[in-house]
This record gives sequence, structure tokens and C-alpha cells, in this order.
Amino acid sequence: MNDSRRENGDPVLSIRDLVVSYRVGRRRIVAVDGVSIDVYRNECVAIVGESGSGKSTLSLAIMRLLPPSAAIERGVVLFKGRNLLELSEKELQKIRGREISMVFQDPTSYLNPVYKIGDQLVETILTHNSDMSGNEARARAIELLKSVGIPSPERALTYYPHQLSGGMNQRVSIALALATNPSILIADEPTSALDLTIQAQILRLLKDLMRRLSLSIILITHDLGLVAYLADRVYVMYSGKVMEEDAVGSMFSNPKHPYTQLLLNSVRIIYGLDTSARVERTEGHLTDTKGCRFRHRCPYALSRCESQEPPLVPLNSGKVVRCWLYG
Amino acid sequence: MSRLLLEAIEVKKYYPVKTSLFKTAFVRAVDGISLKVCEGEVHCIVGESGSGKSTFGRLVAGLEEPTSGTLRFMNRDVIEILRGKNKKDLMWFRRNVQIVFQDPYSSLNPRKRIREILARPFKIHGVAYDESALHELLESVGLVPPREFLDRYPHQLSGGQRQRVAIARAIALRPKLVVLDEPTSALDVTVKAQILNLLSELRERESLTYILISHELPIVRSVCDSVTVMYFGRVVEQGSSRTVFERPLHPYTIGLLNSIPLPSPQAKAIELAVMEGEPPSPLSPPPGCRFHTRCPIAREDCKVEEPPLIEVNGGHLLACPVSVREYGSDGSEIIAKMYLESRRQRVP
Amino acid sequence: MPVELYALSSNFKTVLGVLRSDKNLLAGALMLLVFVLVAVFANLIATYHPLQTGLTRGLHPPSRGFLMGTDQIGRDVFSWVIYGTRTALVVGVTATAISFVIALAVGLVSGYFGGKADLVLMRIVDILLSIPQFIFMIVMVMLYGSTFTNIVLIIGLLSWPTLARIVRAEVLSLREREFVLAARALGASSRDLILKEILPNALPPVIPAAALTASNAILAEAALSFLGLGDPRVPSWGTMLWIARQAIFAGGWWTLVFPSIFIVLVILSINIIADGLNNVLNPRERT
Repeated sequence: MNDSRRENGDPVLSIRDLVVSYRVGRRRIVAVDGVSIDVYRNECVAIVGESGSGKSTLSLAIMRLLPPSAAIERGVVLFKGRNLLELSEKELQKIRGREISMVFQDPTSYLNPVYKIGDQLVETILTHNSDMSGNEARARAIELLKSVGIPSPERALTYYPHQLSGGMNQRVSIALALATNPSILIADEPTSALDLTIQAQILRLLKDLMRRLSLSIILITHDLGLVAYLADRVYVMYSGKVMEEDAVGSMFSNPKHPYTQLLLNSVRIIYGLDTSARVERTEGHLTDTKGCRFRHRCPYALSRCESQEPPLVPLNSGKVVRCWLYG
Repeated sequence: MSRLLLEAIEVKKYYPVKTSLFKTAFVRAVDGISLKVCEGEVHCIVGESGSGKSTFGRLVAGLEEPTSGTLRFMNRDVIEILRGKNKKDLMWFRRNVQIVFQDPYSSLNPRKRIREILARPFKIHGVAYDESALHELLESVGLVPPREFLDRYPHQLSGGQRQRVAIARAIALRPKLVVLDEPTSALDVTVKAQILNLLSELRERESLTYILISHELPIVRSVCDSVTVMYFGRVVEQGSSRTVFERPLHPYTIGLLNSIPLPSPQAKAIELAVMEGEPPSPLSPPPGCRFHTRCPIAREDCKVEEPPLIEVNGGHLLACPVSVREYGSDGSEIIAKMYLESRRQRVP
Repeated sequence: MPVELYALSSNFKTVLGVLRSDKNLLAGALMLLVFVLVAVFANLIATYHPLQTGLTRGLHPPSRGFLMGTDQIGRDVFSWVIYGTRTALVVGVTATAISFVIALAVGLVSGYFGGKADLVLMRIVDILLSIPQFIFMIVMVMLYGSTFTNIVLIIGLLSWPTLARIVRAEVLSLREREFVLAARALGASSRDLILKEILPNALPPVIPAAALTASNAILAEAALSFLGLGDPRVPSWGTMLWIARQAIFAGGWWTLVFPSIFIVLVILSINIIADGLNNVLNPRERT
């Protein structure tokens, strides 16, 4: 276990053994299959995976924002000692948007198009601070907009989402999310709909905010550049399971799981850091669940991998891997 | 240098937009692009949204007609071919210039099997084909065994597989030029890498020329021979890949290149360059240089005069007189530092 | 197995699979199947020739010989209603077919080519839609005579505008889809693009609307007949309702009730099918 983590005390959020499935036609498809994640105070945890890994489902499950076709079959989500999965909807509403907030990929479609952003901000502030007056809420809204770097915040209050650019709207979404000083911000692909230069602004902003507000961020992404810049610790997910967990530095310099290595190899090709690298071609996910999920694409697959699923095993360095290569 | 395949001279594309009952404004999507692409090279067009790069790609592929300017493919005037009644010329153009789109989910007809989709180019151009030709095509893009794929529908394939089909369709008749419009931006990381590998293999094997349009700078950097950087419909910098990426001189290019978060273990120590402000509104571009509202080295004349694209070194074109005049070849480092140290907020 | 049979059997399996996938579709299809069977085997089911009069002396309530009673001139209501099923279904299918073909042609041309053709065609659609359709039908029938053929034609020719608008909307959005652009980039001709790329993708949203057109057509014919404008030589449910206007005062409820039940059930089954088709062809995220 990392020493720096122990300093921070108990985890603020602790997900244990979460299983989430979707009903598709007549079948059930398991999207998150026994995932355990810890988030400590004042750190950024990245959950990395490609499509089908289950990372987005995981983020929605934390706050129980899943669609009706999804079912949380097992598991515990402990937030400050309480299991979020057992709370009533009413109790959950006090936590959502207040102590745990979420920011999504496409800001313009996640803001209500028929309300001015000032109204949306003020409404959120008042919902969670019923003792504030309208003017106090408005002043706080202006403060928030300033803190996320929106120029002329007084004027910005009167705009509708479609009048602002994607980057501005994402800042507004972040402002909304931070309106009540949450302990945790879940950011699901927060910049993938944005241009590179705007992405840089938002990333800088998130890093700043983390420092200033002692915020914990759960970053869901497939972009390893974001991970390297923002995250302290990383969980790599594949096909609904965590395959590797480590501090960000050693995840990049010393990846152990074959899937993590595949990801980093791909990234090397994409960034032109290694022009001779070649990536194996198989795609798709397995339908049968015996053995290791990754074996079909794994260059090191052993016969054991066909029949037995490897458990998560902690290594001396603090890394945790799910692979028979490591015991 | 091999022969010139495509030449664009001051190509413009304006779209009319009604701003009120009687007034029509123009969105200047492409506002005077000139470039040259030689046979066998990979020429990348880089820019963010609103730069006009996708529109330019469509112009090159003959899907739309430029509002003005000249476009020549193999020394023949493209606009005349598109407008003219000569069907043979049009078919010759279509056969030799193909396009691969960004979204593999919508670039294949959902109601046709892969077999029909791949047979289309042959049928349209009256080229005989048989089952084994289709097999070969699928094999060349890595979809094996081909038998398994021919009878499937697009929705039964993954994103990467669909994109391979789209590429196969584009190269079926061995075109001379393939325009790739964000071919990997909708794909997962591992699939992106595979498709990039595929594209370079194909280029060598089939002697293709690519115009790669992308906002994913890392890819562009690793793949292209020459590059055009676009901002808001205009070219701001152009040259060989090495020149532009290693010693960029335009403040936009410099800012762009330094804002890429690198996936490396030392990334935390590297600060990102942050470009202040937002791209201006497409209906009313700012006077003078379009970038001046966000530019760390903007001077008074930048707000008035639009800078011309001039050659500063062999093959390196630049649309920023300030950079050359005041910083010369040290511009790369000096301007990059300005971005990294800047913390001021600009009021738009 | 020869290729053609294979295609047919796989299509059949697809149809069965499709029918089973949505409860509405299955239920509606079964209901409609009953009516189709009744219509096909009408001559075996009915007890008398529907137009035959004088079977009884005037109104007669339902009895063993006349399951649904008889009307004032001694016609067997049961036989009339059974054969009426044929009439209704023929009207539904034919009028819809006419509308569908016209709507497709207009919608495709209008949506794909735009420009003057679009302007002209859409103004025609606007004009037709602003005229109260049913009154127009009444006028047309009165002008051209109440033959069955006329009625079907008139209904068909007045139902296409709504469908055409739907087709046009689909075509407009499909026109810019990337697979259409790709085909254009390959050199496909306009005709090719419209027929091979756009049309197959434009159909799914239109089909449920076409089903609703069918049920409207059946209702329109019933209404026209109810007003006495129907073809007297054709056993239509609406005509029986027209007779019922008099028969009711003499206590002949069976002339009203039975045809009405059939009308309601057929319309209902078609509407359920339309709903089911919509779910199958145009799946939406179940939230």
C-alpha cells in the first residue's frame, strides 16, 4: 500500500465487489463484474478502459443514475461510512450534486437548454442551501463562474447554454458540480468533446481546483494523456473487471498486465514514439466467462488462463494485477 | 520530389446563412487555402473545430464545389470536371479520388451486407469482380477470414472492423488519392493504433497518397510527411512535418503543440500551454489576423491587416510577420514559454 | 439448398423473429390474421349471400338462423358483416398502396433534389392538407359517382400528402449521411443513390405511418358509406350503419352494434400493429 495513501486516512469512497448488469432483449449482460475501487481525500483516481470496459456504467452506478434496464446485482458503495446503494432516493438526493457531483462528456446536451445558466446555477445552490437568499445565491453563482475562469460572469449568468461554446459550457458544468463544495467530483470523459486547446484549459482548471478545494476527482477516460497529467492512481478496466491498479508513475513506466502493455504500446504507436511497434489485431469481447477475459488477445496466454480466472494479486511495489503471470 | 498530384490555389467555400429577413451573412468555412500534395506523400491537415479542414476535405473529394479558387488533380481542373457534362471525366475523377469518413457507424449503409457494400465500387465503374477479389480486399485490410465478414451487416461489426470495411471500399479500385477525414477519432485507443498501422502498410503496398485530416495531433505528428495547420478557414503554417512540429513558428501552432497532454510517466512535471480565450464566431471573424484575440504576441497591425502566407525557409510557410520579425528562429521556445507562464484571463 | 430458397427461408425466419420480438406486433398481427381469414373464407363462413333481400319479413333480432339478425329489407346482417370484412381490407390495402407509391415518389424527389421541384410539390401537399379531407372526399364521390373503384381511388389519392411529408423528412436527413456521401464519392448516379442508398433506409419510419393510413382509409370508407355515399352493390360495414339509422327507431340495435364492433376491432388491430412496427423498426432507447 502506498504510504501517501495511508496519510490521507480512510478512503472517502470505497466500492467493493460491485456487479452491474443490463437487460438486453432477453439476456442479461454484465457490464461491471466485481469491481473494487478506493478513492482517498485529495487525490485523482483515473479509471481507464476502452468501450465495453464498463467504466461509464461504474461511474453512473456510484450515484445510482443508471437507466431502468440496468440492475445493481451485488456490492457496496461506501461513502463516508454509508452504503449509497442502501439509501432511499430521498437520502440519495441529498448526496447527489452536493457531496458527490458529476460532470459529463458533452456539456451542451447536459445543461438544460431552456434555462439560463444563471438560473440553473442559482437553483442548484438554493436546493442544497435552503437558508440562502436569492441574492446571496446569485453572488455565490458569480463567484463560482469566476473560479472556473469564465470571463464577465455577471453577463454569463444571462446566457443560455447554446449561446456559449463547448468549452464555456463545460466550465459551467464544472461550476454547477462544485456549487456545493462536494468531496468528490466524477468526471466522465470531461474533455473528449472539446478541442485540444480548450481541453488544455479545462485540464489546467481541474488541476487547480483539486489543489485549491482539496477535492477528490474520479476521472473516467480512455485518453492516457489525461491520466498522466491529472491522475495520482490508476485502475485499468477490461470487460467489466479491474486488470491492474497502480500509482500513475509506475503504471506508465512499469505496466505489468498484458492489456495495460497493449494500451501503452498502442499509445506509443499513436504518439509516434515507437514506429516499429505493431499491435495484435484481434478485437471484440468474449461471451463466455470462464477463465481470463483477456486471453483471446493476450500474447502470453497460458493454458491456465483458459479455465481459471486470475484473482487480483498485490505485488511488492504497491501494484495490484489480475494475471496468472504474476502468481 | 515526385510529381504533383493535387494543387489547391486560394480555394474558398462560403455558406450563406440568413441572419434576418433581408440580410444574408456568409460562413467562411474555407477562406483561401493553397497547398500542394505530391504523389506518395502523406499530407496532413490539422486544426480544431471550425478550422474548415473537414470542409476542405470534402472539396478535395469532389463532394462539394468550391465557391472560388482553383483545384487541380493530376493537372486537370476539378471544378470543371464536377460541373461538366463529361461523364467519363467525372468517373475518372471519382475512381481516383476517394474518401474515408470519421464515423464508422454511419459511413456504411446499415441495410446492406458487407458484400454489397464492397461490390459497389466495382459495379459503379463497371469493373469485373468475383468472390475472390472481394476476399482479397478484405484480407488486405486485415479482416480475416473474409468469408465470415462478407455476409454480415454493419451493425454486426465493431467500430474498428467497420472502419476497415470503409477503407477497403475506398481502395477497392486503387485510387491515386485517398482523403481521410478523422479516420480514427471515433475509435478506441488500441483500435486507433491498429488502423494507423493498417493505413501505413496499405500506403506502401498500394502506392497511395493520403490527405489526412485530423485534430488528433499525436497521430498527425507520427504519420505525416508534410502538414498544413489551419485556423478558422485560413492556413497559418505549412511545411514538412519535421519543420512544423519541431520548430513551429506560428503562435497558434506553438500553443497547439504544447497543449497536448503526453501519456508518459513524467507528464505531471510538464505544464500544459494554455491558450486563452475562445475561437471567434464563424459569422463574424475578427478583423485582421483571426488569431489575434488569443495571441500572446499580437501587435497593433495584427488587428488591422490579415497576414499573408509567406515562405520563411525552404518549403516552410508562415502567416505571422510578428513571429519572424521579432523572434526569428527562436520563436518556438520563446512563444511556448509565454503560454506556459500566462495566467491572465482575457476578456473576449 | 438453392440460393433463392435459402433467401426465402431466412427471410421467413426473420419475419417470425420480428413478429415475436414485440408483444404489440404479435397481438395485433394475430388479430388481423383472424380478419384476413374471415375475409378470405367469407363465402364459407357466411350463411347467405349478403345482398340477398327478403330472407325475413323486415327487421328480425338475432336468432339461430340469423346470428346477427336481419335488416328492414330482410338481409342477413351476419353475412353482410362477414363479407364486409373483405370490403374493409381491400379498401385498406389498395388505398394505402396507392398513397404509399405516390408518397414515396413525391417524398424522394422532393427531399433529394430540393429546389423548384421541392417547392412546387410541397405547396401541393400544403394545399391538399389544408382542405378538409373528408369533405373533399364527399364532394369527389358525389361528383364522380359512388362506385367502389372510385371510392378507393379517391381515398388513396387524398391520403398521400401526410405520408409524403414523412418520407421527405427522412430523405432530407438521410441525404447528408455519410454512407450516402461515400456512395456519391464512389461515383454512384442520383438514381442509384435514391433507390439503393436512401430508399431502403427511408422506409422504416414510414411503414408505421402507412399502417395508420390503412386504418384511416377503412374509417373513411365506412364514413362515406354511413352517409349513404357508398357503393350499394358492395357490402360495407358503413352501409349497414346507414341502414341502422332507421332500424334503430324500430328497435333494431343489432344493425348498429355488430358492424361497429367489427370496425373497432379491425382499426384497433391495425393500430396495434402500427405501434408494434414502430417499436421494431425504430427502436428507441428504453429509458
